[in-house]
Formats: sequence, C-alpha cells, structure tokens
Amino acid sequence: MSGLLRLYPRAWRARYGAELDELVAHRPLGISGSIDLFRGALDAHRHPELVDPAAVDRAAGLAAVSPERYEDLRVARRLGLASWLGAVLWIAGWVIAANGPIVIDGDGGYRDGGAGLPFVLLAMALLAVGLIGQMIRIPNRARVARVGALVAIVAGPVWGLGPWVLPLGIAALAGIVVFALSAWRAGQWGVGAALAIVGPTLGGAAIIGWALTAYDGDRLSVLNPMLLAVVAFTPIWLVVGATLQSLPALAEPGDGADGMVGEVVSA
Amino acid sequence: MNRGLTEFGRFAEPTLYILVSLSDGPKHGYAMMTDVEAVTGEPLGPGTLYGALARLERRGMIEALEPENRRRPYKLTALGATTLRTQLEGLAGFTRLGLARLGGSAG
Repeated sequence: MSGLLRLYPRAWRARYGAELDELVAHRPLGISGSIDLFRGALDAHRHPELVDPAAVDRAAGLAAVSPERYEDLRVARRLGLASWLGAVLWIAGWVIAANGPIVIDGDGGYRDGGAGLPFVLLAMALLAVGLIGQMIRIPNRARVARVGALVAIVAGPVWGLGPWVLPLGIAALAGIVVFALSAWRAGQWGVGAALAIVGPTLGGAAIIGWALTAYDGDRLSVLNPMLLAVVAFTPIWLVVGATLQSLPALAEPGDGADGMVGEVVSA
Repeated sequence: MNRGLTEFGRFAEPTLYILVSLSDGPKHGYAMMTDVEAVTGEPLGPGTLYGALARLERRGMIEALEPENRRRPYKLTALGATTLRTQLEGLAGFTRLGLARLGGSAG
C-alpha cells in the first residue's frame, strides 16, 4: 500500500483502500497526484461520516452491540480523551521539573522538580482513567489483560506521588506492557497498537536503567537521558486513548446482539 | 429529493464528471479516471476521485457493485440519473442563454 494511503482513516482504508491502492498501482502518482491524495486524506479525516458505518465496524473489527453496551463504550471513549490529556500533562510536568532550580546539597547539585510533580501525578491519574476505559471495553475473558491494567491503574498514580520510587514505576510499566500484549493476544488490539506501547516502554525503561548506571551519583547530568525516556513513554497515553475511540454500530432490534463485551470479531 | 451537486463544494465538478462517466454503464475507479481525463482533458486525481465517489455513494447517487479482483465497479442509481439529468438540463439552459446573449451582442 502506498505510504500516502496510510494517511487515510482506518475505516476509509477498509472501504476504499484496496481500490485506491489498485488505482495508484496502475497510474504513477507524480507530484500533483501525491498532493491530491494528501488532500483526499485530510478530507477523509474531516468527513468520517462519508464512509458507510458498516465499513467502519469492519475496520475496527467490531460487530453491532446492544444500546446499553453502546453507551458503556461511549463512556470508555470519553475516558480515552482523558488519557490524551494525560499525555500533555506528562510532558509538561517533566519539562517543568527539568527546569526547576538547581539545589546544592552535601552530595552535589540536583534540580528541584517539585513544581512539575502535580502534573506528573495528574498525568498518571489520567492514564489510570484511560485504563479504566480499557477495563470497560475489553471482555471479561481477557483476564491477564485486566490484571495488567489493574496493576497499572493502582501503581501508576501511586508512582506519580513519588516518581523517584522506581519499583512503583516498574510495576506500573510492567502492568501496561502485560495489558497491551494480552489485549493483542485476546484479539482486542491490533499488533500495531500493542507494539506502539511495548516498544517505547521497554526502550524508555532501558534508557533509565542505562542512565542510572552511567551517571551514577551525577544527579544533574542524568536528567537528559531521563527526559528522553519520558518522551519514549508518551505513546502509552496516546495509544490507550486512541484504542478507545472507535465505536461499533448500534444493534437493530432483533439482530441478536446480546450486549456482551465480545464485539471484536477480528483482530 | 434532488438536492443537486452544489452541496458537494469543491467536489461538485468531479461528481458531475463521474456521473457523466457512469451514465453509459458501470465503471471502476481507474476507468472513470481515464474516461474523465479523455472527456475534459484534465486529469482527475485519485484523492479527488474517491472523495467524490464517497459523497455520491453516501447520497445514494451511485452504487458499488461486487469487486472484480481489487477493482470495484460503480453504477448510476435512479437518483443519480435524475440528478445528472437535472444538472445537464440546467447547464444546457444556461449555455443556450449565454450563447443567445453572446449572439445578440455580437450581432
């Protein structure tokens, strides 16, 4: 598939992607064609209503659900928006913390990042809100995923109270990784979403581990790699929020939807 | 109800071209693109083509048929044919008026 076609919304690609791909394969785009396709992708994002809802459901791997279940998923979607806000606060908190005043004590100097801590705490709380949305969305049978999410929901905000307590951070990150992988294994998440969390999370954790070893005792110099790790963790909030945004179709009376949390019909 | 093509905004002209292209039978995207280019002399970009197709399909003016390999043909619906006829008659009237005035002023 052409790289430009990937700019189209998922539902749009599900409905028109193969045709567009075939067309592009037979007719080289050139510059004007590429610009036209780019504009088409922007238009598709602006007008998602143009795609038949049935195609949206197929793209999201969702089958029609009962009105009650639909309302639950709408709530979960709003919780996903909170997770996105958390990403902003996460970055903001660490930027504020990294620019705090330098304090000199008996062991040398360090940045007093206290001003950023409320942002970090709120970011972790909002991630927990997003994960609660995931708990609403994923089926009960995905037990390992639910346990992973629960661990992160509890450990994350507690870690936000004291980000220097690394075991709590490790527990939160481990819970998130377990959740992402299990959600993928259970067919609730695509492999792309799972990898978008697992990869950066493990990468960020590796950076922290390396930095703590390489800059042992140098509390000022260790900030730069720490900030890199902070940025690496940001996709967690974004993916948790994004995977809550698609809604299935509302079941028509008599079509057999039973409101179970098993809407996903394909990964 | 025939609401015309003006509601399609910048896609109004491409949708008219597509409806004309489909007026002699079903076509898939590539065939429409080459047909429109042959008729108008201007290439129709793939993003514009499928933006217009989606709008026409959503409004029920065209209908997707079963795909042939990866190509999906589209056909004109009754609503699409009515809309096209109305548009072309409007354009024809406008053309007649313009030519009449031009002829009057030239004479």
